[in-house]
Amino acid sequence: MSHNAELSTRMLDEKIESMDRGDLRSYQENRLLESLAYVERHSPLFAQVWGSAGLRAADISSLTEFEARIPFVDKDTVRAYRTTYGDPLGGLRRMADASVLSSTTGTTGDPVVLPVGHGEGVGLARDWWEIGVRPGDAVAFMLFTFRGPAWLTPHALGASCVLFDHHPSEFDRWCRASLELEPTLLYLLSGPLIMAMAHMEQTGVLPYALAEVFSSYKGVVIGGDHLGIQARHDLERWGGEPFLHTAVGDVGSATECREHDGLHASEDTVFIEILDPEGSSPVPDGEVGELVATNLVPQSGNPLVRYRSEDLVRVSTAPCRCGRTGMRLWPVGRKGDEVVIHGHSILPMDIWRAVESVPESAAGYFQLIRTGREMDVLKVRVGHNATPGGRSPTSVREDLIGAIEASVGIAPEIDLVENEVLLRLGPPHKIPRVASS
Amino acid sequence: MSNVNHWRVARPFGDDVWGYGRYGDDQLLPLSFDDMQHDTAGATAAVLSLGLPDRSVVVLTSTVSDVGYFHPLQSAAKDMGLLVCNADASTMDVDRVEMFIRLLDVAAVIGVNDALVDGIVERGHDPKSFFSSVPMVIASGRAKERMAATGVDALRFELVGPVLALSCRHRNLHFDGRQWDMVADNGTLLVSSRARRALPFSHFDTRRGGTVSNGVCPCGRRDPVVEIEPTAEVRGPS
Repeated sequence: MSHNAELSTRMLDEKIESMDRGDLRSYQENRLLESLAYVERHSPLFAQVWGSAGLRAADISSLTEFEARIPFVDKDTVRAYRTTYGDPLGGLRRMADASVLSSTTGTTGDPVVLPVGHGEGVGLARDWWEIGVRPGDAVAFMLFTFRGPAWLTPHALGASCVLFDHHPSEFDRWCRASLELEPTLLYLLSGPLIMAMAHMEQTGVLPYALAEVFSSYKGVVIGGDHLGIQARHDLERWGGEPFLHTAVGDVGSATECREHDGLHASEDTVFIEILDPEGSSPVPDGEVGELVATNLVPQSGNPLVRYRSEDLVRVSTAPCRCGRTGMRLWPVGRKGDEVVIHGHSILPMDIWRAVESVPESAAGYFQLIRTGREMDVLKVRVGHNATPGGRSPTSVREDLIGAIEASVGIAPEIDLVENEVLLRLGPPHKIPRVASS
Repeated sequence: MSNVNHWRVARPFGDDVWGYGRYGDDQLLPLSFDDMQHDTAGATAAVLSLGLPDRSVVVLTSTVSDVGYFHPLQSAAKDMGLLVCNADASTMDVDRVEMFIRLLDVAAVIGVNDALVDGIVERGHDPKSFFSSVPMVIASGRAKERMAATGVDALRFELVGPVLALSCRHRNLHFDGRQWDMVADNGTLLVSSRARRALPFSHFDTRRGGTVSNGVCPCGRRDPVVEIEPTAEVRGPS
């Protein structure tokens, strides 16, 4: 390798990743103006949305103008176009321009088809470089559904991939492969999978010293839900260092750096606005707002502009201790997950620790029952681990009511079910945190 | 614009390891970039033999651990201008497959396995109705049999040791004869690699019963045809 000095650096794209924020805004503006023209040519949806507002891409000459004039879209906008015009791609891109058809996860409704264009994006490579992946390494994938571009990332870093399903049936093979190939990154684990691994370890089904299995890993990327206390404890007990990871408005992703102080987004590829969830005013750093995303590289990714993700986040634009200047995010929940009980706003995150504090529900599997945003009674369906000779459901329920009331000030109604009931609602890396009944 | 070309990281190629898939009883299958390139060439012949219309939409269902078998199919289809949608061949991703079929003019669903059929039934669908708008469904042996019982006339694929065998439109199950040699020894199929591969095989016992022939197939594909006895299901999480 003729670039050893570069291999020792912490940033893959230091010039971009540590760019002064003023310079970054100029950089984004240049890319944005090119992007708008591309999107107008290739996306019937945006041509129509902007046309209805009396706008052309050429009318926008600055980021400030963009923020003031370009209309928002959301998943419903895409679905409505799909229904009205019979276009399965929701007008996002013409079929002839698509190279692969991806889709949203469908956790919160009918999945939306996302037509991916041609070319390569930055992907996850910067995040993985920061964690410590280097040329010649192996990266273990424990993944589902998503294909294609995923393999480009290790190859772009000079690494190879080791392929596993995101399923406990793969743990034995994963343990053997980890001991043999010594991968440096595991992409990705989730709360449900960690809990399953701990259970299989405790019951002797997985006859490996997991500390030894994890010893080659410099990091474990965590996807899906918030990482619960018990799952984090188990992972750290095995020596796995978790790196939280989230999607950024179906346009990009964000991952923790080794400082573990927020999730870094690649702002040279996505323009992020944090806005009042019920309006369009910007929300200051540190306050909860809705993430609104615009793809600055629509040629290769999903062509979304001012896309209201419904993801609630807090952000900071202060430099990170790692030296990166890009926005850091802390996911809080989903806009559609909020319930208001007698004027008191509650998100799943608000009761997570309370549920985990009861031993029988330490896995943190629960759902808010949401019949509307405003409700009279807080209803929670909680998964528990029923063991022969264990405590009675009545006793577990009483503890849960007490813990949640202590946490949010409202005594809930508890529907106690077995963990399996909630896990079956999948996808495999998370469960829907809100149910209508 | 920043992209991977600016990183000055030497991209692997040739004999370098592309990745590790799975074969047999949960064994690691190392695959080189050359292997993937050759397998993509073989997959091109396989996709051509299906006779799919230009710019068709294909739903490819597989598990991540079986990507070594299916990635070449995806690459070949993409190179040929087909549009590929991915879903997991597992019970949990049935809704995604259903969504693709409902919204898109899908010409083929390739890779249906037993777990996916389980999921279809669990969600209250009848396989015949589920696939009614899809002209071509390609399923593993047991899934094909189960769906046949409900009236779905599927083509077949099989994972035979490290080899993917895929039906052509004339229902002959071909495998890539440039990369693999397959012989029946006392009725059991043994696989050997013919070309240089990251992991060479020599008379690998697939524990599958069957026969191999080299007759001319009307699909035009020159690769050998294998007849495999019905047997255990292709792996995958349920």
